[in-house]
Amino acid sequence: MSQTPLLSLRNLRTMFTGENGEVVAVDNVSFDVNAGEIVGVVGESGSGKSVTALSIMGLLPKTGARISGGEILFRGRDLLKLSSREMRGLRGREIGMIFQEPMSSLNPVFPIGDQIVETIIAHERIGHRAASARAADLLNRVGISSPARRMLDYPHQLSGGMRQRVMIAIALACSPKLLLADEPTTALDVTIQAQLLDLLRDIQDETGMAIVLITHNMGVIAECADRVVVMYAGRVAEEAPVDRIFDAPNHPYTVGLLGSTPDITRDERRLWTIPGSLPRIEAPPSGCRFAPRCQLAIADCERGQPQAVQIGAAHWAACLRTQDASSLGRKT
Amino acid sequence: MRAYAIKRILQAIPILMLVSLISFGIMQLVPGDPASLLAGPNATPAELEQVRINLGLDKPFLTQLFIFYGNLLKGDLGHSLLLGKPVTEAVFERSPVSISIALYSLVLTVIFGLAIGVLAAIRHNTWVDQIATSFALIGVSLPNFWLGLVMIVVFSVHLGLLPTGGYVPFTRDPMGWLVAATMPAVSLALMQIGLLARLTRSTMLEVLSQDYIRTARAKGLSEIRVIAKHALANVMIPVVTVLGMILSVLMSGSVIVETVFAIPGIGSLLGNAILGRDYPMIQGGLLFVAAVLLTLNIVVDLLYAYLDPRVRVR
Ligand SMILES: Nc1ncnc2c1ncn2[C@@H]1O[C@H](COP(=O)(O)OP(=O)(O)OP(=O)(O)O)[C@@H](O)[C@H]1O
Ligand SMILES: [Mg+2]
Repeated sequence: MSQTPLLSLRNLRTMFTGENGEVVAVDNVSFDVNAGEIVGVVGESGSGKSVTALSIMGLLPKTGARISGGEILFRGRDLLKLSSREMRGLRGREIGMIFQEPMSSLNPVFPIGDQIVETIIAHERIGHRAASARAADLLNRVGISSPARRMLDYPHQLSGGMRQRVMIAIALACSPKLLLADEPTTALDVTIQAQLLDLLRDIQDETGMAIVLITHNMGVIAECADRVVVMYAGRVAEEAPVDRIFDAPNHPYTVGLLGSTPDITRDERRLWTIPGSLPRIEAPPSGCRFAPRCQLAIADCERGQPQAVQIGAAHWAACLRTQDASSLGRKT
Repeated sequence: MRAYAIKRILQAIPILMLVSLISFGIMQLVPGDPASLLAGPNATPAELEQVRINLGLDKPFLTQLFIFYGNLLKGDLGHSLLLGKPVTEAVFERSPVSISIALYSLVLTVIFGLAIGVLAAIRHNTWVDQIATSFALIGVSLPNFWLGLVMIVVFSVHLGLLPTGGYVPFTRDPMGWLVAATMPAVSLALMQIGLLARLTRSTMLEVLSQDYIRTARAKGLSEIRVIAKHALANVMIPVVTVLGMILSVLMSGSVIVETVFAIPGIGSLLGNAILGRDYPMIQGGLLFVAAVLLTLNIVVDLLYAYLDPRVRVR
């Protein structure tokens, strides 16, 4: 892949000001997203997935949050250097985002049609009628029947799955190059989840946009992603093409994540969970952040943050013991 | 929406019946014999009997109630004892005065209360917020009669800018009305501005942290649009519900303010009626005020339903 990536995070660092000084929520995160690909970002709750996405969108809380380092290159431009006006022009037009909470992500007091139409009008010189027609098309596209009538509905008249479809329609309204989907199906039941993932994949096929799919569900990753970024405690633990993640994981944390996912195909009853929990971001371990929970940890692991090691084509792991981790991965 | 409106109006009828029953009860519950109170200490028994017959007090209770409702339906609230004219006439003479001042203070309350609250919320934790919050606190803590007196001293006595009191009907001279009504309206409104600003600020802060605001920003809307459309539409829902309460307070606060500024409104009409034991006047005046407040509350409820689609469907 010699083309320049659509999105490239370089050493992104995002901090929050807490009661006891600053904490680092996203630390030195780098990964690329190429045009037309689906990159899965996985990690357990609190690992910094949402903060990464919000940093890209420029939607971090106005007070108490700050990006203290790195670059976010989108089509070659560093988003961190754009004015707020330029960022606004980008949001919703070139980068769309959908959120985890379909129940509360739509404004309860406006009809859904209006909420799609205003997105189009905010970015394009287009008449209200044409924008309405496009909104109806979009609703149709995301699988909402009789869209002209549905446009007048208020969010509370729709189910969670329907609302998330509306959110997708809003995100797609201006045909963005990149879609950030932050756990788009987590709050929905399994059948709806599958339908929405199918929808996202179809749309991606059709439009060729890139998707960053944030999830903590390895099943979703297996089904949709081309490449995977595994995050742990604000850092990237491993990055690899999807089949490599499942077949040859090289970071003990990835191995643990896979072990804790029920795998029907392999007929395994045993559910291996990672002992312990995510370190508190107020007091991160000095070395590898996974070391306290890692069954392979050695003294060196606590000495410093391990550098990412290249393992194969487009495959990196930030671990001193990738060799042993990969054999651990084969055992489970 | 229309069904909701009709339902709301029908609901008001039993309330109005109840209020009228209470106001009828006032006459029955007056300690001692209302007739002797009305006729005065020196009345002869014959005169007393005459007063009783005039008031219908000689008839059985149920008959009295029946007559009372009959007259009410005809729009007859009886005769004022002090003013010597029909209660309805007195009420309709005075009510435009009070209502116009109450509406004026409502306008002031809504404009300044909302503006200060919104400003404080979007500049949360800055000096703007601190000034706005302190102003609101001052507004809430100052009694309106005191404020009225201070304003008279400053603006009328020292600066000579505004009259110390009196009233000019809006229909006769709008500018004159504005000059006469401003100090009363401001002194009535200030406390409500403080209350509304505090409510608006806290609601706005809460609304701004909602997911749909994040969505609005993620869509690339301008900050003005995010605040003025997406946030404000949601802030207005609780604000409108307290508007009904604010109006009631403005109406009842007018009794004091009308006294301070020597304004011939409903407040001073009722005040004088109470002092002079003008029972028909008290009865009719209360009924009128209750009807006005009830109507305003229905308007507020309808507005609320209009603003919040989740209520509308019920
Ligand atoms: N507004 C905030 N103020 C302070 N700390 C925050 C804020 N938002 C997030 N954090 C912290 O940043 C860290 C990363 O949070 P983030 O929401 O990115 O996790 P996540 O990976 O998206 O988890 P989840 O799967 O639960 O969504 C957490 O430790 C969280 O406490
Ligand atoms: Mg998250």
